[in-house]
Amino acid sequence: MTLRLKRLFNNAIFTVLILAMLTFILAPIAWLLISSISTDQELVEIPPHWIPQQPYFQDYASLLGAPPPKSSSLLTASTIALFRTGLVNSFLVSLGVTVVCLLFGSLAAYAFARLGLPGGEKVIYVLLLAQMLPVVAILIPLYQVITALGLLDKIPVVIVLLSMFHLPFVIWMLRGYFQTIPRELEEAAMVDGTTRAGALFKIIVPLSSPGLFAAGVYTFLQSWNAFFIPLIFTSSDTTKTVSLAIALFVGRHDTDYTLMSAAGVLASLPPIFLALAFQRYLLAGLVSGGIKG
Amino acid sequence: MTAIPITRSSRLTRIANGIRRHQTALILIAPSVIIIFGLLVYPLLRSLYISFFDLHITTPWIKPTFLGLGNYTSILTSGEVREAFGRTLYLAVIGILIGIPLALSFALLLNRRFPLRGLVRSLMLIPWAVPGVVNGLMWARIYDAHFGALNGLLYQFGIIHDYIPWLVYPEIALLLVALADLWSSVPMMSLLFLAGLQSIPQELYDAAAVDGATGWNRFANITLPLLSSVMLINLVLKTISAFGLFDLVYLLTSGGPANSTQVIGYYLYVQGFQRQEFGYTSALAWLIATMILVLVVVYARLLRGQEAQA
Repeated sequence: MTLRLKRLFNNAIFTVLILAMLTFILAPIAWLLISSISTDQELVEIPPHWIPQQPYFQDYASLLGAPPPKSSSLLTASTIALFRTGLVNSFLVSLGVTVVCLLFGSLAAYAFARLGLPGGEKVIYVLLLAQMLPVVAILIPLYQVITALGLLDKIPVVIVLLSMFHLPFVIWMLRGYFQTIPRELEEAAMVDGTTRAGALFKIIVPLSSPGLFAAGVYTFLQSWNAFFIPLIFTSSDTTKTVSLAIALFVGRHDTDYTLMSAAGVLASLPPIFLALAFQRYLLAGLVSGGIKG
Repeated sequence: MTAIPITRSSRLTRIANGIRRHQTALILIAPSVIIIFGLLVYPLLRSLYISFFDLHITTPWIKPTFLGLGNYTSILTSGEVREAFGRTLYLAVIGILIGIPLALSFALLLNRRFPLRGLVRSLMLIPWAVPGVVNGLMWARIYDAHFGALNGLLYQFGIIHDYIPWLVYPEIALLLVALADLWSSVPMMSLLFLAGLQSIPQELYDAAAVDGATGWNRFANITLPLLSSVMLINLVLKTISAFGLFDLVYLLTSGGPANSTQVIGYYLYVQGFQRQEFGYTSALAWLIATMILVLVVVYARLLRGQEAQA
């Protein structure tokens, strides 16, 4: 009897602890969601309405393309325009970085894993170096060069810069994956007359698709979330990413608060979706690399 | 033509042979090497070089002045830098003293079997995936003086009777930034701990149970020592991230009030890109890099020492 009571007690404590942990994770997001579907009038009520009495979804609709309500100000219209351009730019940047990293990264990883090129282990040092140094040390000379060349405020430049930060990790991760594929498979294909390049793209790449997925998802997510590099290397409204668009409006007091909350929720959906959909690949990669970005 | 000394010519042939042998491999790594060296290694060396100069960016008609160690000495004697450094250490200490025990407890909870465990573990990825800027926006909403959730909660529990503009007080602004930072970093740390926990063989615990070890004994003598490599990773990452913290400060406080949240990551941005003190900022970045390197080595030594003891 006492043993059963004790177990019951333990289970109750355990449940409370799990719930506390979930609250820590979810409560801040919940408030962002609540403020994104409140009206401005309801948001300033004291005490707050934890569940909006008149949920308001117009902000989401206007951000995603519906015409904004007639009452909305010029400021709201410009926020919406900036946000939409930002979404497109973020998508272009993330896609560009992912393509560059996967293409060049898999070629380099193959050279290290298969062609007997020495120094594959050293990639990890470049990786650690890139992680450990304040990014400002690297960016100041780059900023000078890019300014001198008149290449500021260009999306391709942002893509190349971000690729540099993620390429070492992608090479490291893919090299590990390529090494797990038995050499015999490739050799058999090459005996049958396939070239090296053919072996890479017909045998290695399909077999290491989990690795390519993990590296690709990681790169896309990190590029989508990037802030510092776009902040420094872009300036006009047409090149701003979605993170910059949001940052631009946070500090202002005349901001439409509920609209910006909705923008924040929308901007978080792609990375959250990617992280959840590919969590198995992603976690395996992150844990093995011990890298958090 | 005189003969090239034999040693030199053989070395040249060896390099030539190496290039021929690895021709394909070299072509394959060329794009990556160009990107990494062009955009990482070269700028690094260049920033070391300009750290000895005053470049006079804002007055370009004056030629760069060679300062020797001038930038370094003015950094080491600057009160601004010392304060920013102190705040960064504060962030790191909070991240380590609160963040690591919290992350470890989360991992211990997740390591037990319970219904919907897979779902809960997935949710832990969300704070890591949320863009830094949205994290800032979210906490700006929570700390807001007029409709923040923090004010709302405290008001409803009767702890405060008037809403408080939290981020206006220099005494607590940095703490609030640090708490917001914990939200985004603790869940990923706990997933790393969880991976470490799951790699500990169950037999060790069984054997300890046979020997009559209590729960605490098992934790202190099996779990903690076997987690030391994950612990090292988390310590290193948390320290590095304290020195790199930028997004949250930019969004929540812009370094204020009264510079009370001007941490190193933000100070580097202000000096480097707002005031355009390129030489000075490069020198500071290099000093920080050196210091982080030293810290990493110290952590590794300390943890290895513990491992040897256990």
